[in-house]
Amino acid sequence: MKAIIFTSALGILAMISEIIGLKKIILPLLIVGLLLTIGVNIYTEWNYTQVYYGMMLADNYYVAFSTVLLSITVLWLLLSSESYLNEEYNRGDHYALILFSTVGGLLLVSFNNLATLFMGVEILSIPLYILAGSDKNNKYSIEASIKYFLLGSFATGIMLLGIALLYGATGTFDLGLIAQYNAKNMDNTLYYGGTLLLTLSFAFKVSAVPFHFWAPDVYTGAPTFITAFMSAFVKVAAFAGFYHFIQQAYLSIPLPMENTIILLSGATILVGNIAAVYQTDMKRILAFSGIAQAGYLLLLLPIQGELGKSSLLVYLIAYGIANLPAFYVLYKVSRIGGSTNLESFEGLGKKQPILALVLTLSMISLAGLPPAAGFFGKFYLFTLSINNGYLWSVLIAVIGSLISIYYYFKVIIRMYTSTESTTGDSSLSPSLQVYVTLVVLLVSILILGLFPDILVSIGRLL
Amino acid sequence: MKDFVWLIPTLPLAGFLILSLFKSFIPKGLSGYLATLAVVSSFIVVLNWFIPALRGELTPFTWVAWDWINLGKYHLNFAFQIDVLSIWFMAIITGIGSLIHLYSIAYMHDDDGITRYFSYLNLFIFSMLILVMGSNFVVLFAGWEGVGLCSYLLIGFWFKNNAYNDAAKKAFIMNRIGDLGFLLGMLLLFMHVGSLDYTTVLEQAPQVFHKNAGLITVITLLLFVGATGKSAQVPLYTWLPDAMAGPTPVSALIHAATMVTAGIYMITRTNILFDLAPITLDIVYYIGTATAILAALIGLTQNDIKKVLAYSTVSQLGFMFMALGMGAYSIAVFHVTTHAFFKALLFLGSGSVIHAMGGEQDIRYMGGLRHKLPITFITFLIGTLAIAGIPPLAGFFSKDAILAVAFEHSPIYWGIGVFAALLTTFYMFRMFFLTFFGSFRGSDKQKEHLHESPLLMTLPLAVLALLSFGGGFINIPHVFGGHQWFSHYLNQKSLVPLLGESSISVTTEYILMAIALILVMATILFTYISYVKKHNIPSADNSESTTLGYKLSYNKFYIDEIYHSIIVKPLHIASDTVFSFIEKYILDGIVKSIGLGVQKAGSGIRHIQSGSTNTYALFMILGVALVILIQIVL
Amino acid sequence: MFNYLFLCTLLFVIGALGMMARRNLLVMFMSIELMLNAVNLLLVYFSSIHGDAQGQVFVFFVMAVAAAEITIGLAILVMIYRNIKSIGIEQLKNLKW
Repeated sequence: MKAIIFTSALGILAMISEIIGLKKIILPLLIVGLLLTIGVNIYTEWNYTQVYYGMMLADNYYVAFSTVLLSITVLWLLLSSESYLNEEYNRGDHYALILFSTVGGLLLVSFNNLATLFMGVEILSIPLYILAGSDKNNKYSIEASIKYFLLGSFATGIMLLGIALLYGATGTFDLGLIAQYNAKNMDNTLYYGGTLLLTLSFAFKVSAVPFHFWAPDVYTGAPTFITAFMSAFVKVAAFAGFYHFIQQAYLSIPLPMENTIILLSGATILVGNIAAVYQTDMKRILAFSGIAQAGYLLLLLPIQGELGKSSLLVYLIAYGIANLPAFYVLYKVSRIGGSTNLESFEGLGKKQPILALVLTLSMISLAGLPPAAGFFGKFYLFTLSINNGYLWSVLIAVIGSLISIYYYFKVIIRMYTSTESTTGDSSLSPSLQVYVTLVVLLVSILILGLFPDILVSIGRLL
Repeated sequence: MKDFVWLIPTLPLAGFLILSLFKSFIPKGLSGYLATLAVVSSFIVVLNWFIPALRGELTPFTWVAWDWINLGKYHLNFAFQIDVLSIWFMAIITGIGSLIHLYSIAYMHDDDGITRYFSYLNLFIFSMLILVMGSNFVVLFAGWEGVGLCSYLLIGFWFKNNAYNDAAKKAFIMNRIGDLGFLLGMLLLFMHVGSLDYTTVLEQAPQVFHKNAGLITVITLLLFVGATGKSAQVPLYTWLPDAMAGPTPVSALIHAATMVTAGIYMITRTNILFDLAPITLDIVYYIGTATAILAALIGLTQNDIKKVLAYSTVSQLGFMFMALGMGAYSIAVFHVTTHAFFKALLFLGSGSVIHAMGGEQDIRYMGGLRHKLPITFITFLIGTLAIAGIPPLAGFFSKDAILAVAFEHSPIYWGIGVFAALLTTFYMFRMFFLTFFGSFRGSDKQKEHLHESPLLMTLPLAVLALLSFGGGFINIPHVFGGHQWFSHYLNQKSLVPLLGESSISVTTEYILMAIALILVMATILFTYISYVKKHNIPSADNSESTTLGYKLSYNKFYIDEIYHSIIVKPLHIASDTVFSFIEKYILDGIVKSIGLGVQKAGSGIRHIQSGSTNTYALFMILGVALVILIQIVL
Repeated sequence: MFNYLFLCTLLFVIGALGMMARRNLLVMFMSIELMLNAVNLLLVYFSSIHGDAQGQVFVFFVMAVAAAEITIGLAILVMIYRNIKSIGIEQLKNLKW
């Protein structure tokens, strides 16, 4: 609860920073504020489960994932600082919107009532509709914005219908009461319909096939750092929220929901990976890779219990810390080369070895190869799913992840092979705070790959 | 003592990190020495256990670096397993690796990217060490993918054209098919045994799986598919000859001596599993045989010096799989060892030739090099004799051991083995004679440029030549009064099973050896006559010139012409067929169609992504409808 | 009960069809509103069936959020009109494949 209040306050501060003359120091202020929030949040809420007026549930799950989400926001602020120092966009407004979106994410991992769920989803999405179109004079950016808006509202409609049907069946919006209802009445058309529609609207948020169409277009059109935020933060928030919903609203996952999720997962893995093979634009490759990753993650959702939670934590963290630096490198390359085409990456290994190393490691992690963090995300996921009896899904997932190595490696090979021998390009080098952030991210990818037990042992406490 | 195990992989890793992070601060001349130092020091640490192992005093141990995975009842360590098998491979990797590093210093001296080159080479040594040292399948897989990545990076080191792109793509798809098998096999094992530790898996396997049951057959077959990809067996071998686009020392290290033997290492390591599945072993044998013959047939007509060596590598790997398939795991590792010696020698020798010729790789434009490159000539001769299996060189003992096992199984197996060996002898000596004998056929400019390579290159050649000469003595068979020391070495703690006493009598064995030897000598003589005495140089159009050459020759040995029509021509035709039909169309066709299929599917999906918001909304509603429909039906 | 459900579903489907078929952005916004209001109606209906006020409170949530959402939508619409001098969705097909 405190984290939500603090973050909202920081958002308002960012919004009025220009008026009260804090424009210059707003970034350090926000970062310190968010770090304090993380600290206070862990200190006051960890191991102290509390339900706030029946609307929000602050358990260890909430603390862990709110920490992850807030950390992603902090990292995002640090990495994107360069873009905003160049005065490309209005800083204060952007930071405010990002923080409000963060609040939405926090609501998504703590809701205990369908009303809070609805508010969380909307607060998460609405700032992003604006941010996607923040490059006002770029026709791609506004196209991304309107597409995201239309399809997002459409999905909201589906979600509301689902909520209404659930309410019709159970007479309550409270997740605890819904769970009790679930135990008693297994066959009710309204109840099943509501469950299905809610599942599908979550599938939209996590960009699962066939609700993924917005993702590649929006990711490509939106300004690079907004895409980074969408791909890292929104996906983590949506999955954590989805899992939270299943865990709180159902004592055991209902069969239609499980079947749907497994079905969507297979389709998502195949479509995401195969479509990515064809792409030549790095931003679109990452968009489709994000879709494919959502496919793997869907396999985790039906797995309840501490193992499911820990592997979700491992996978989402690995995904987040691999995605953010990748988008940073993308931004750098697009600033110099003018595009995010694969050709722009040629010779990056010589021009900017650090950036190339960053991208290499994050690609390896996304591809799920040892010794990067992503390997254990996949390893836990596959073994748990096999134990849960999803043999065919795992087969598809393994094939998909082997296809994915192709397009992840395509970039790596491009970076380290080039005909001309270019010398170092100093305009590409990152600023000091970004440099430090990148090193921290790189080291954590490796550390989590070598010692995944750190996270698993936390996951057991959720 | 045990606490220093981590140094072995860490030293090359440190070399890689230093070279890649401080690239701009390290003078170009120094980077090679730094990299070499890293590998040599790693080798010295390996010796620490290798020497006791040779004396039979090594107590196998597992060194746990840390608790890696802890998933309820499943538990896995990041640990290194040091026993006679892994220490043997580690010694080969770091030992030959050191020599090749040393050689590369001179070979790459004027290349721009020399620092990058050495950093990749160190990274490769690191990954390969992880592969063989790991105490479970997951660590093995980490190294497995690592060496793959290094191989791509090094193939692409001189990336200039699209041909490379195709080669890389092909290598990529084939290795992924292999990985698919390996991963699935691994997951199935994990599902049924509940662990991926070698010790646990191998101990429990006999209880969990029934001999010859379907499950273990499937698992071992999947693992074997993995080995097929990495060790270039039929049908996943065509990437290896293409991979020769990289610098020659890389071919020597990665694509001849170490990485390609990963599959053999894996099967030997898990031999208990394979012994439970005789069907798989049979398939391993057939695939190995097919590879040995097919690759040797193709090698007959290749004119690129590195291509010949590449196909001979594939063929020799086939020999090793033949041995594995017959359950003679220790013999396979023995052949891995001798092959590492003489193939590294041959590749480095060819590098020396290419170096002297200023980059020329076509043997039709070489000739008479023995006067200009005496050291290369002598060492190359030793390598060629070794691969042909002339006693007492290394290749003789390992090949003969395989043939002896084959005869025990069936004389037909023996015959096939001898046939493949004869083909090998033929094309190796054809290449050898064309390169070093006769008169020089290159341009005048090349002729002036001819020079013996510097000491840094000839020294590794000399060392490898010595090893190729004497390497076979580690496993002298009983017939020669030896005790098969190496097989006993690997049998410590019954790690690798010892073959039962040979059932064939000593006399039979002598006769077999003599037959094989006489045939090999005859082949050499035949090659000598056709390529040295008759200056039978293949031109661009192969068959015509051969005929012409024979007609022009004044020595009218009719016997030659009979030879020609009975043996040479059919072989030529067979070789051409295999190369142009089986390899080009069938194997590459399959790979291409997989790639194309994925791309087609990609483009189909691409067109659904039409950009129209209305369509997207339509698909979403259709998705909802479809899901609801499926629920109702279910 | 059936009639009410039928009416709401019909309204929702009309909204969804509008999303699929109409090319004018303003009309698409209206379709979204229609979908949301269909849900509102349904919520009110369920609320009175269960004799529980929560459903009606939820309608206020939905209305407030829909108002905020449509404000953003109209702002984006203005931006689009400035850029391409049109509010037809068919002209916004540059991002594809």
